[in-house]
Amino acid sequence: MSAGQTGKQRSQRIQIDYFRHRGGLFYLRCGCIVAGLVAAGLYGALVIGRGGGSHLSTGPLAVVHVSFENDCQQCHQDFTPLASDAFRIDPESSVSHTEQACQKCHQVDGHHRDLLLADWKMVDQNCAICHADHQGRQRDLTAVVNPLCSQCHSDLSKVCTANRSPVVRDQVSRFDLESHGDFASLKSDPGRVKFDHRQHMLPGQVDPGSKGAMTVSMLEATRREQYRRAGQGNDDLVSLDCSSCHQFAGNPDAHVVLAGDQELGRYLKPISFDQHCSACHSMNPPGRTEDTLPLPHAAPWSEIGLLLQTKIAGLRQLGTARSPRDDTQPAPIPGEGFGSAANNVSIVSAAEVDVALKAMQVQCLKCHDSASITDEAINTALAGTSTPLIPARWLRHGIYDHAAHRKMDCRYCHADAYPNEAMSSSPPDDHQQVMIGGIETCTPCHRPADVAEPEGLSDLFSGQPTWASDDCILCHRYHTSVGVKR
Amino acid sequence: MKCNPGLCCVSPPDFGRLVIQLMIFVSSIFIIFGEAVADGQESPLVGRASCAASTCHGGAVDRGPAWNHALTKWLAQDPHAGAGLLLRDEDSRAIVTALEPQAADSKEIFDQVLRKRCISCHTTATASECKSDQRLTDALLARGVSCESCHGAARSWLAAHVQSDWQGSQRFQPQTGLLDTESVIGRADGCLRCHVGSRREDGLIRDMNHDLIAAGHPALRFDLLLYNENLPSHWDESGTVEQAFDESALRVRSVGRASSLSAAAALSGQRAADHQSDPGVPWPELSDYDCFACHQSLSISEYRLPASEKNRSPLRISDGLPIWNAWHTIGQKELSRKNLQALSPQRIGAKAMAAAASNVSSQYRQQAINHEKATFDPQSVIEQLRSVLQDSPPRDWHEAAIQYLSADAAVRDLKSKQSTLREQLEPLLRFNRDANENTLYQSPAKFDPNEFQKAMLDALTSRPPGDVAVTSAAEVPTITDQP
Repeated sequence: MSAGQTGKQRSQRIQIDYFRHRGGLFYLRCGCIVAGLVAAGLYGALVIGRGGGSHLSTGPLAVVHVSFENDCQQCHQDFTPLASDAFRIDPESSVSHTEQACQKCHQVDGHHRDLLLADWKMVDQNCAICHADHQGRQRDLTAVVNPLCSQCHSDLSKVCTANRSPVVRDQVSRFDLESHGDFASLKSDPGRVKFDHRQHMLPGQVDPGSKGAMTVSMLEATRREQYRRAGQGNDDLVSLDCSSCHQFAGNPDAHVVLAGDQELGRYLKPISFDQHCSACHSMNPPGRTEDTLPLPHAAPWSEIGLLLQTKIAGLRQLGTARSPRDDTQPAPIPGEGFGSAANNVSIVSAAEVDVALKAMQVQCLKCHDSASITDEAINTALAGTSTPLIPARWLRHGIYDHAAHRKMDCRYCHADAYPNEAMSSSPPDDHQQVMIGGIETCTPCHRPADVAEPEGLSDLFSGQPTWASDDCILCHRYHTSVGVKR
Repeated sequence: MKCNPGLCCVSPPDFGRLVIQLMIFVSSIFIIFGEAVADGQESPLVGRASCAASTCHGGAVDRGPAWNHALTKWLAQDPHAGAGLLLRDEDSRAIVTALEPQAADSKEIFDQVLRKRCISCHTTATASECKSDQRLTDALLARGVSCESCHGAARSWLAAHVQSDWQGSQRFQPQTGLLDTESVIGRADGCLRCHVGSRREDGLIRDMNHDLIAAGHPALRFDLLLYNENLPSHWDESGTVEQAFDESALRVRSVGRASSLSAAAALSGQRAADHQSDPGVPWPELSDYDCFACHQSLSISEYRLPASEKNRSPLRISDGLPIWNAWHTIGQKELSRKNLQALSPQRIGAKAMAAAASNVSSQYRQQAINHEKATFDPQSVIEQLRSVLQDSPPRDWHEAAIQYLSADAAVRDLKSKQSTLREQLEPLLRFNRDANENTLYQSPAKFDPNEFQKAMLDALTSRPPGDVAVTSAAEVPTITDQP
C-alpha cells in the first residue's frame, strides 16, 4: 500500500458495477459448460447407440463372473419406465430381476425373509447389497463385512417377528461370550454310541496299572499296518491318536448347504465301525480263526443268524469246532477209548444259533443302546433314513474348518478327550459328555484386530502370530439351498 | 394329545410296536443271560457274554496272546461248551425218562428233572436256578460249563482281574472268589466238583449217583492227567503255569488221584450226612462202590472171580462185596484196611461213615499237597510195575487200568518219543473191544488179565531205555496193592 493514497482513491480501482460486466472469464466458463454438455450428449448418444456395454460399468467384474463382462443383460435390465409419462422404475421389479439373474446359478433361499417385519421387507435386499460386483477382478464376493450382518443382528427384535428361532440371540454385535454367546449345539451330546475317548488314547487302551493292553498282534491281520507305529513289533502296544479315527473330509451335510462347504478338511469323516472300530472290535463267531471272516456289522439279525449257523457248521466240517455230541479226544480214556464223533456235524440246532445271536447282542450293547440294535433300527440305518448314532456335524449353526486349524494341538479344543492325570481311571464311557471346547477356545485368536494377543497363546502356532478374523462369515452362512430349512 | 409327524419318526401304532419289541428284546437279554438278578439278589455270576468282547477273551483263535481268544477257542473246541445242550438230545431224554417216567409226557416234569439232577454239572448255574420250578430255557443250557464254573463266580473279581497287581497265588485267596486253576491241586479241584461230585460246593448238589448211572449216564472215572491232556487248551501252553504240568506226568497223576480220592470220600460223607437229615437221599449210595462188584456176568463160565478165591483179591474187589470206590483206591497204599472197612456200608452206619469219610478225605487232601511238592522217578515206577506184573496179572479191570495209567505217565516222563504203550495196551482195556458190537452197557466182562499182563510186560521190556534221569523221590508212589 502506498502511503499517499486515500481510501477513496483505493476504492476507485474497481468499478462499482463490475459484476454487471461479462468478461472473458464468463465466456470461458460458458463455453466449457456447453462443450461439456455437448460432449456428454455425444457420449450418451454413443453409449446408447452402441448398446451401453462397458461404458456403463463401474468397474471390472470379479473373476468368477468374468464371462458376463460384456453381457450386461445377464444381470441388468434395460431401462423401462413405469409408464410412458413417468420417469421412474419399479423397485420390486428391478430387485426381482437381479435376484432372478443371480439365482440362475445360485439357487439359494432368502435369509429368513418371511420373518422380517413389514418395514424391513421394504429395505433393498438385492444380492448386490452384500455381494457388490464391479469392484475389480480380485474382489471376493463372499467377503461380507460384519456391519452388514449387524444391521439386523444387533437387535433382531426390531427386525423380525417374535416367531424367530430361540437359539439365535437377539443382540449380537461382537464375537465374544457376552454378545455372541456360547455355541448352542454343544450343550448336550445327542450321540448314542457308548465310547471312552480317554481310554482309547492310552497306550494299549487300558488305564495305567491295568492288564489286557491291546497289542499289534491282537488286531485284524489286514489292519495291523494301519495302526503300527514306526519301529513297532507285533507285541508292542497299539497307540492311537486323533487321526486314527478322525480323518479330514468334506461337509457331511453338503447336500443341504452351499458348495464350498464340501472342501476337504472342512469337516471330519463320519465314524464308521468298519473303518474305525473293527480292527480291534471285530464281531467274532464262536471258533473264529485268522482265516475266517468276522460277522458283518449292522446287518439284520436274520442274516446274522444265518451266517452264525453256516459259520459254526463250516468250522465243524473243517474240524476246528466241536459238536455238542462229539466226545472224541486225543488221549484214549481206559474203557472208553477215543470216544465217538457226532453223526452229522453240519447240524447246528436252533438253540445254538439263538444263543449265539443273543451273545452277539450282548456284545452290541457294550457300545449301543437296545433301541439301536433292533431290526427296525438296523434296517433304517442301512437305508440311510435314520439319524446317525454319532452326529456328523456338531456345530449345527456354524461351520468349522479342521484343516485351517491343523497346526494346532487337538487338545486345545478337545482337552476332555485326552487322558487326565488327575483321573485314576476312565469312566465307563463318555458318550454323554461334549468334548468340544466352547467359544472361549475361539475368541483368543478370533478377536478384533485392535485387541492385543492374550497371554499364554505364544506356543499355539510355534510363536507365529495368533490373530484371526472375527468375521461372521468365517463360521456362518447367510443362505441355504432352496427348500432347506436351516 | 396329537402326535406331530414332524417330531415323531414313527406313527403311534408303530411306536407302540417298537416299545413292545424293545421290552421283549431287553427282557430276553435278561432272561437269556439272566444271571444278573435272581430271587431279588444280585447273582455272583456275570455270564460268559461278559468275557466275550474281541478285546477281552473273544478274539480270533491264534491271534495275539492266548488269553485274548480263550473264550472263542473254548466255545469252538471245548466239550464243556456243549455240555448243557447235550441235555436236549435223545440220549439225555432216555436217561431222564428212565429216571422219571412221567417226564416222557410232560415237558415241565422233564425240565424239573434236568434242573434238580443235571444242570448243576452240565451248565454254569446258580443254586436258585437249580431249584426253580420254571421251564428250562435253551439259553440256560447253552451256557454250557462256562468260565465261571472253573474260574469262580466273577462278580467279586471281575474288576480286580484286569489290574496289573492281580498276579500270583494271592489271587486265589478264598476271599477273592477266583478259583485256582494254576496249581495241580487247584486244577484238580475244579474238575472234581463235577467229575467226582459234591453236595456242598457253591451251594449246589452235583451228585451223579447210582440212579443216574442206572438210567444210562456213564460212570465217572476221572483222571486228571488224561482229562487235562484232552482238554483243548484255551491258555498259554508254553507259559510258566503249564510247566508244572509238563514237568512230571507222574506228579500230576499222583496229585490227581489223591485229590480224587479225597473228593470221593468227601462226597460219600456228605451223602451219608444228608441221608440222616433227609431220608430221601439214598444211602448206602451204590455209586460209591465198585460197579463190577455187583454187575457181573450171570454166566458161570464168565464168572472170573468167585468168592472162594479170596486170596486173589486182598482188597476184595470184584468179589461180590461192595468195595468203596475201587477206581480211586487201587494202589493207594496209605488207605488203611480200617478206613476202607469204615467206608463199607455192610459194616457201618451212615453217621459213622460220614465221620470216617471226612477223615479219609482230609488224609488224602494232605497227601495231594505232599505229592505236589514231591519229585517222582519214572524209572523206578516202571521197575515196580514190571515187578508186580511178573508176579501176577492184575486182579481185575480197575487194577489193570490204573497200572496202565501209571506206566503211561512214567513213559511220558521218560520223554520216550517212540513209546507205543498206548497203542499196545489201551485197546485191551476197552469195554467195547469189538467195534462192531453195539452194546448199551459199559462192562469189562471181556477183559483178559493174562492178556493184559503179557502185553504190559512186553511193552515195558521192549521200551527203549529211558533217556531222562529223574532224582529219586523221598516218596515214590507205587502201584503196590497192599493198603
